[in-house]
Amino acid sequence: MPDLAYWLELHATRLRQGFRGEAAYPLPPLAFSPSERELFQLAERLTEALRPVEPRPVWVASLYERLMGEARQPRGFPAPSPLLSRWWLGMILGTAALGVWAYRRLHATRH
Amino acid sequence: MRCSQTPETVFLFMSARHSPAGSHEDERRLVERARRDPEAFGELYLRYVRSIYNYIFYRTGDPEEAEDLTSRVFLQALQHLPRFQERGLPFAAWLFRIAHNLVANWHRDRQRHPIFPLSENGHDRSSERVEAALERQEERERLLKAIRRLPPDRQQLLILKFVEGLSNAEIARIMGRTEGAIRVLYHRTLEALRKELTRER
Repeated sequence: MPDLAYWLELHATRLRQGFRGEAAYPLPPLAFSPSERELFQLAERLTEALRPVEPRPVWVASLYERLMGEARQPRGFPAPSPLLSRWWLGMILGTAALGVWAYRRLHATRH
Repeated sequence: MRCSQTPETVFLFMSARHSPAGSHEDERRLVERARRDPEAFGELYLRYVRSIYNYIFYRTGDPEEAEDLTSRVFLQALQHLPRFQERGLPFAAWLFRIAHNLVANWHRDRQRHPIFPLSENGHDRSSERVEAALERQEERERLLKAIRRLPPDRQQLLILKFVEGLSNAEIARIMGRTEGAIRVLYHRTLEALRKELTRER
């Protein structure tokens, strides 16, 4: 006689095929003990409770667009945003101005 | 697969969601192509978005969180795709692993910063609803809550088996176990769930 795990598996297959109640049992229900029958009933409740949920198609589409946008970006260094470029430009000009100021100050002290 | 407009993407999703996943070899080639070709990654996305969404939805019980976490799964997958190594496991197994980690982090964060719902539950208690339907809904909620208290691998098994309708062979490949181990795990999961429900009463 196969073990209970085997019968539960057959039962799950029959539930997937659309059978319910006694029709889903792999053997007549009386062939199983009351506690075993509880497991079959629980499996049937799971079939009713765990139904596929459809994600919102609009959300699926918007995520698709977002992923495509990300995927089309060149890999490696991320593309600099205009804001970031301006920040770097400011940084370079600021450093240069500071350098000129420091040079002149040093030059003036010597003379 | 080329789609730049939203309605077209919706159509592709609607037609892709019931299509078979294809052979392992076909998928391996698609993953290889996805490293260079965004459209191939899009194809993988359309193939698995529903499964990952369902997995996260049933693990969190929240559609908004499911959308947010599913987005993160695919963004991470895209980011780490160059490092993905084919080790005989299907691409879905990798996606489920990312989803599993994100859900685990989500649960950990919620334990640190618990959110208390404004209403006792999410039911729409409109007058048209008959009492029997409410009871069924409450019963279902109780069962889903009990499922969420199970260990993650058992939750995954139930979701793959009942929501996705996968065979033991397919589940075994995704979870990296043998078919026999899945059969035993299913039996033990039902036992554990029964105990969980009995303890609740």
